[in-house]
Amino acid sequence: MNDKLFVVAVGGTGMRCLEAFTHLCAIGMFDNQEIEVLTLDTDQNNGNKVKVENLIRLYTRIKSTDNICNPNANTFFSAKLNLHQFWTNYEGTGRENYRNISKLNSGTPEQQEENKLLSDLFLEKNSVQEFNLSHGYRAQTHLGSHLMYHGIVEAARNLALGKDVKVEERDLEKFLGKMEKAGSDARVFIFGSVFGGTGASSIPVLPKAFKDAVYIRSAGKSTLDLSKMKFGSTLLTEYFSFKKPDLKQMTSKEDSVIADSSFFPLNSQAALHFYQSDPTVQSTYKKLYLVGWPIESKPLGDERKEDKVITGGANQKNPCHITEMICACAAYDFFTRKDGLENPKAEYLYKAIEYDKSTFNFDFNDFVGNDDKAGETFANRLGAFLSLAHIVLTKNEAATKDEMGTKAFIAFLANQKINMYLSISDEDTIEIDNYMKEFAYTFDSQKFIPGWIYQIRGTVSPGRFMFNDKAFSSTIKELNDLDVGAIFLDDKHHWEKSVLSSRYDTFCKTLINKGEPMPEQKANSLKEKFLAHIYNAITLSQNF
Amino acid sequence: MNDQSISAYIISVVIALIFLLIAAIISNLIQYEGGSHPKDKGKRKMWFWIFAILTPLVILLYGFLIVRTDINVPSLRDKYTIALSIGTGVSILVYVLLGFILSKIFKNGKIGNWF
Repeated sequence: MNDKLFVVAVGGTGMRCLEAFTHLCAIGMFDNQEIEVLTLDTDQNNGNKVKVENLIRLYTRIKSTDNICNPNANTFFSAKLNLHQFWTNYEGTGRENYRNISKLNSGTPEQQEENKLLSDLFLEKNSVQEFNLSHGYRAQTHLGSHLMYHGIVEAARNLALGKDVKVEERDLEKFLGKMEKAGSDARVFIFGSVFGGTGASSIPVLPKAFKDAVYIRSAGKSTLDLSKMKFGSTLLTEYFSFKKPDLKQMTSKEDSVIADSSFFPLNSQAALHFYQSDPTVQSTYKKLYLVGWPIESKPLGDERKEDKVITGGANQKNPCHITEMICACAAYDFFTRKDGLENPKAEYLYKAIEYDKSTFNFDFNDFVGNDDKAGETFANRLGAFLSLAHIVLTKNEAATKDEMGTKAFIAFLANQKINMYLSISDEDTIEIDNYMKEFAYTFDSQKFIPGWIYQIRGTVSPGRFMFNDKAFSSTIKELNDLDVGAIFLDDKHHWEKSVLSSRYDTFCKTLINKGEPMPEQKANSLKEKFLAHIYNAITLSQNF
Repeated sequence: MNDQSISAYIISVVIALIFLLIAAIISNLIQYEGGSHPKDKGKRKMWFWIFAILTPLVILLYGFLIVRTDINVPSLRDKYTIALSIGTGVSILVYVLLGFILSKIFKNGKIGNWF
């Protein structure tokens, strides 16, 4: 597979799917790949967006040495991620709502009258045309699609003119330039929901918006051939709810429209009907993955005791959900497909998960299938990364003490006269620790803070989630007692132990004696060699 | 050199080798630890030196309390005392020197922590 890979994350849900995708890259699911990532939102400071962008920057810093970063294979952090950001600017006078940004009051009186009538026909006059756009499209997808398309086209016009080009427009240009260069070899996967606002608005129009933007930017000299490029996306239906907005919050014009999660099922139904019948969607997408959550989810905001519905902004940092991980795995399927992407019409894909006693039970193959032993590879790599997280965070105390974790692990190797990693700086080791905290957990004083995989598992609990329940211990005592080599449900992947040697002890011996990186792993820098070394030792210990 | 003197040298070296073996076994039984202050390396080193001290003590105690008391001829007893003293010194040397060599041969292993 030589296609160039692109990922676009749109809106809050799209950002969390991208977070899941980044973690898949960290565990090593995208070997030898350089992936272009675009975050697309209406709100530059959205909490979920900032979180995932910081995560990708952290990922890249872990991979980079002297600003050089290359893809590797069969190791952690194997894919190279290039982050691009674009947001439609709804800040400042004249851009804060539909009425102003569409300049309904400009032009001749006849034009103004026509614009007004047309707008009133499609968009509710005193609410949809008036609400503040900086927190997204608030489930108003008919407005959102229109504005997102024009936001991208507006950026392309500015780029073509070359005047007052904003930084986010330059970034979009770089992303589109790479897409244009890849041409029919581009595989583009778009993350977003179909029940909310920004993502739901954007998924149908993005391929066309990208195509038109390339055309406008190049003054008609270039374009994208959507029939040959491979676009894929998830059709993610509602999977969370939040408290109903109260009338008091909705009295101000800027908050006159607030997404109401009780309408999400209806939104999803309408969206699915649309995706089933819309000819543009059907001709531009090759694969559409239906992802849903048919049981009731815990409402958001319960722990935060918010008195208002959070419409967006820096405070929008929703916890992660397993559906987002499934979306990331859909991208894995799309990116690793060897065939089936030449179809002229979108193909809809879905699968079911074992449901028993009111809970779902997940196995490794449920996420990535088992073609080419993908399920086994996934089990190996996710298990290895989770074990490493426990080694760094608990065995080497990064979750409770600063400047321990990876640094202590390197010191252990030095104790065994493996001194080659001593020159990895403290800054670098802290970044690996920080990534592990994002992935698994940390402690704030004595308070347990769940990371991504713990949050994901929390949405499935008490159902089965690939690993032994003890692998998700959450108190200091339980974690200290945890056997990091026995996290699998299947004993055959437990690390070896004997009467004289614990599993961790056996792993350390393997690490010391066998784990040296191999040329095919393409680990060039010291950090890459260190990560590959640990990956090898854990993989050998797991008997994969 | 009489038989008692030869046995003093042999016993000294054998005890040194046995204690070195025990130190190696104990070192390998000590599990690797993680964390900010792992004690495993220190423990291995400690057991190596404990046996380094025990080696001459055990040789001298064995030689003086068990073997020497059975020698009734004063001249032979004196020769045995000299041989035991030299053997003890040699055993310390053998223990430390062999320990050092093994530690360097298996430098990445647990007994590599001895030096």
